[in-house]
Amino acid sequence: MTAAIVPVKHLAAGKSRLAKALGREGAERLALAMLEDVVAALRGVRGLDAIGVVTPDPAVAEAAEHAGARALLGTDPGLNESIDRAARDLGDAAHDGTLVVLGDVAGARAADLEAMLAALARAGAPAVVLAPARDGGTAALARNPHAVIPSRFGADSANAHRQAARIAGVTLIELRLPSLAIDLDDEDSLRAFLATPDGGEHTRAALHALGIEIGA
Amino acid sequence: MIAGPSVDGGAPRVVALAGGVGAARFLAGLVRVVDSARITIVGNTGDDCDLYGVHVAPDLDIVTYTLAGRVDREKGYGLAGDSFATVEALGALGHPTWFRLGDRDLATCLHRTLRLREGAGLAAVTDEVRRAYHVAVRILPMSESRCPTYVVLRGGRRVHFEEYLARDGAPDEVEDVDLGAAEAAAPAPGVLDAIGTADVILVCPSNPVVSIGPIVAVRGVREAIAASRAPVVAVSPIIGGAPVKGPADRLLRGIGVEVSARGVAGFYRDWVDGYVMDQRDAAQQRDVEALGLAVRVTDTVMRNPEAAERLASEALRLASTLTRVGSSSSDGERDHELGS
Repeated sequence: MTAAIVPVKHLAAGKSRLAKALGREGAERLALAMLEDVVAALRGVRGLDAIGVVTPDPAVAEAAEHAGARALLGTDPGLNESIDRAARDLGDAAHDGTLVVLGDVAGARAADLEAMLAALARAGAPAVVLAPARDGGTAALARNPHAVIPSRFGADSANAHRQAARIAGVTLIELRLPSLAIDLDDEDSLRAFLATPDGGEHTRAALHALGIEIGA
Repeated sequence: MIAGPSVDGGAPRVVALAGGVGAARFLAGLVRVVDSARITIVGNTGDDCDLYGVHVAPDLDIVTYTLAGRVDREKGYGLAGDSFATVEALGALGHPTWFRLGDRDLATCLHRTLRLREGAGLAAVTDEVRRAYHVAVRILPMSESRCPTYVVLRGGRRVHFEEYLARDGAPDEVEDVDLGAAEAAAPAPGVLDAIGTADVILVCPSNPVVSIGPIVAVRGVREAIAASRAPVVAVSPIIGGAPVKGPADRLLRGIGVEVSARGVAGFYRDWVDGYVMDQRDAAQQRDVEALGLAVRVTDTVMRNPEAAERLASEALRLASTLTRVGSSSSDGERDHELGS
């Protein structure tokens, strides 16, 4: 049993850089659209037994349930702590590991996420599959078991995850997957996202409604 | 030799669950009272880490070096008289040197790494190392899979146990310990068999949280112990309200267990039958007995191998008074009686 975990911050707290460009309401609308896209992609992934959205925000939890995920609503102990707590809360569903996908990797495609799980299965436990984002962060991380390396999401987290796997002596496979390269956290990344041919339809629609176009 | 329950009427077959320094000293005493061929040590690998690309197995090596009589006695780990030219040269090249790996110690780790790369299992490699050091006792790793132990610090940050201990100096900000990797790992070949055929199971005076904890967290180990007919006797690692060595106090506190002989007994009570504790903690004997454990109070300070031998004898003597009846391997349910 493998579970997906999607962490999403409080709408009021998240994406302050985007709020500057889109206004607070626009940023919130975008965050929910991105979540919808990520959950939709995960729902298309074969081999997942649960999709948990971990968030301190009741509005996000409601949107997650609406999109067909399980909401794990709780306090906000910090991004990594909430991910590791979610893995525990998912219990048996995370027995054979987890696939963490950040809630703002709006372009994520089911095929790419599935490729991560396939690589994880081929490696055999214990192992880690890392999909780095173009900014040095980690867009998605598959682990079996989840606890084999700690979550180190945040700035330069691809390196932090590599280091954690190195000291633990655990196999780490790195997959550079185009649909997972961009997490939408500033104006530049919005433009880069819109320049990709497809994927993230809810997010594209939301950006369009907000008047954000390529080159805008 | 201490008499004990044994199916074939010979000396008891002893399985010892072991961490590092404290366990190694205890085992050096145990081998003086039990034929080495009758002992199987199951060692913690939750501390294992990779440094400079080599697989370091601190607890397995401490036990091996100590039983070989080659350990650096002052430190309790590493090899006596080892040099540190390699780690110093690595430091000059900009590598971190917080784990002071000696040159000959490094050779053990290189051997392990090379053999694992060739496809050998960790159990076989551990056996090669102990034979090369002329250790007569079988030493098994708890698992052949990597199962790193993480210390969860205040605020939620997780660090590998060796980073916590050797790099960061074991700060007193432990919130929890994550044994999730051990829980998911299969036991090494031989571990469940050894437990299943043991006449006595000893829990060495090791860190209950990060040395013994990972071993019993490995898949199937707790069930095998519960199903075993062997009495389980633990030796308290806490003397006079403090650990002899290491950060057990900080880790016990961190997971909400009282730092005392009584606290550790409570931590073990679900799977241990007997408990050897120090005379300085004698006031807590009643409390431990009230947990349902048979108790022996004695001097547990292992000043020298003779003292360790006496302690091992006491643990075996306590075990010999305990019999488990009606144990069934089918349901894993503990069903034992404590004899007189």
